[in-house]
Amino acid sequence: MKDDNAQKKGFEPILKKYEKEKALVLESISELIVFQDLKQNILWLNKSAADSVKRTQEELIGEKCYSVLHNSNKICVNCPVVASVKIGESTSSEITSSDGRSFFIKAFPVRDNEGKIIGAVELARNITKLKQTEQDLIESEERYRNLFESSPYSIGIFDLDGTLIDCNKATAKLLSTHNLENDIIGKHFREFWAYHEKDKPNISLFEGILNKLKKDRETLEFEFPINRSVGGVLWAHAIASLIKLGNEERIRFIVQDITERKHAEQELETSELKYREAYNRTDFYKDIFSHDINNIFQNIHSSVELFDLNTEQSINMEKNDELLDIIREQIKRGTNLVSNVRRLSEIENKDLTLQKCEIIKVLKEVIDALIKVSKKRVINVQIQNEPKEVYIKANELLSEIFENLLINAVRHNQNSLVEILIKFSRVVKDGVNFIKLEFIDNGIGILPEMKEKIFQRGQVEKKDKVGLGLGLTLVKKIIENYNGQIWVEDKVAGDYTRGSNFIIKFPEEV
Amino acid sequence: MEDDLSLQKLYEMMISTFGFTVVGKANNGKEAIEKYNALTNKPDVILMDHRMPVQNGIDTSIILLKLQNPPKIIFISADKSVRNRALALKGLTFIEKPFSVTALHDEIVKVLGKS
Repeated sequence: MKDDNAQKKGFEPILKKYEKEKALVLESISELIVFQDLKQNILWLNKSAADSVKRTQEELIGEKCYSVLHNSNKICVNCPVVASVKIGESTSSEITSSDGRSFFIKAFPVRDNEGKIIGAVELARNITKLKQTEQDLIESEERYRNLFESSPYSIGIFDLDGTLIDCNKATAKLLSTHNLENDIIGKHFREFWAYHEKDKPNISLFEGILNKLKKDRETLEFEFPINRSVGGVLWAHAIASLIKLGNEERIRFIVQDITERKHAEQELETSELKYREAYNRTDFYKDIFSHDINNIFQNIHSSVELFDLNTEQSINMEKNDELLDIIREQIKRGTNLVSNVRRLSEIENKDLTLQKCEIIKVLKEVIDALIKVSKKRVINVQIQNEPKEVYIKANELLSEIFENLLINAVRHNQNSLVEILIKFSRVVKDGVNFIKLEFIDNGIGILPEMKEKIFQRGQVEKKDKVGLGLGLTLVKKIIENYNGQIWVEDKVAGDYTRGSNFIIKFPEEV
Repeated sequence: MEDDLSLQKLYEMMISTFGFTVVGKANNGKEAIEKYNALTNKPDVILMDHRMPVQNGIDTSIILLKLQNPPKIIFISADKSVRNRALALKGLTFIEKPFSVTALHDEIVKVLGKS
């Protein structure tokens, strides 16, 4: 015994030293350390724990944990100390004190030498600031999400590969879809772009935008057509910019629907074009008209002067009949010119109603009238394969076609006998029945380089103006109105000097 | 050179009335140059219209005036807009349509007198 006591006395200073060191270690820890018994009576606590409630360690010994921290007389519902004692293992939970501070508490059961639980140690960390930061982040995220979602403009976030990773509700509205996740998120940028057929190979469009953004580091504005999920195309104005989301670089598109504006612009453009064309056409007709009328006056003026000269001086009297014919012919030419300008204006300015017309009767009336007014010329008109009746969809301008073609065949003919053969035949093209008429003459013919130009006088962009009257322009316009076609070939292929063959095709009405 | 066949006929009548002879006629510029080159007896003067199919009067005059012994050209047109372009070519005179028989006569005489 004596030896034992002596041994104990020998260890005492060492134990005291250990106790002092342990106390120093525990006191210097910023975490709160509290040792409690099974009834939550505080048996020991470090300085940090006492400071956290602004009391001394001595004051708190023997007090209930819940009374100190929560100012309550009941054990906390989710107390980790109670739980650790109950299950015999460490547990943890977050607790908010009565003054609003948050703590993360971890509790460890404490056992005696026999393993019996005699209490628990709780280790608490004040996480109030962390919780506040978390809350601030949630609120900030909410604020920005609200701004994002309440924007009247579509906002889309794409990754640098061009895949849409996020967008707002305005985007769903813009694209007429209700299901953002299934319908648009995850799609590539090029799937939204409404390519025209000719643009399809241009798949590097997104890469082009990305490269420009990376190069200039500025926002990029452009207009583009978008495919709606439900079909159809809308026009959008986009502002693209590079943004940082976390550590990732993204492209943000802010898109505004400008379809209405675009349509209005297009309508304005069409309208402007229409009026510009009308103005140019008027100018063109004015030019043709003044040129042709001037030539007509020149013909009449010179004929009259020569007639007077011949009569006064009694010379070339045999030429006077010819001069009178020229005058008569020029009067007819002037009348036709005025009529053609009026007809052209009618065709271009209003939709003329078409109805079922029988063409043989109209053609024969025109032939009779031509022979009647061309008494000085010997004209032989033959009709080959003449059908009994032929119907097409036409209007009162049908006779203008025949009249112009037949007058030309006579006027541009220097033979003493004007021969005109009109051939009828039927052709089928793409399942449509056409009636084909060929007007074959023995006139001066049409030069190969003029075969297309003679129908193009109404096309104001053609600067190569020639003096051939407006008759064939009128004829072509009327025929196109009837969904027909007209072109000219040589009567004898390859030799235009033998005469012309004007070929017309009309869709036949059964 | 005139594509209006009636006017062509009238020119012929006027020229023979003046006591001159028509050595060739053409309906367009291209035909005119071909005929001019083929003629052994070249004309003293050419009456040139402007608006003609295939090749117009200005382009035809440019070609003819570049020849070693260029012909005298009287340019006749109703287009006031081509007057300056035609006169800028130098070596031709201009008559505006409509003109009188006397005006044409005087112009031909004047042009021939210069040679």
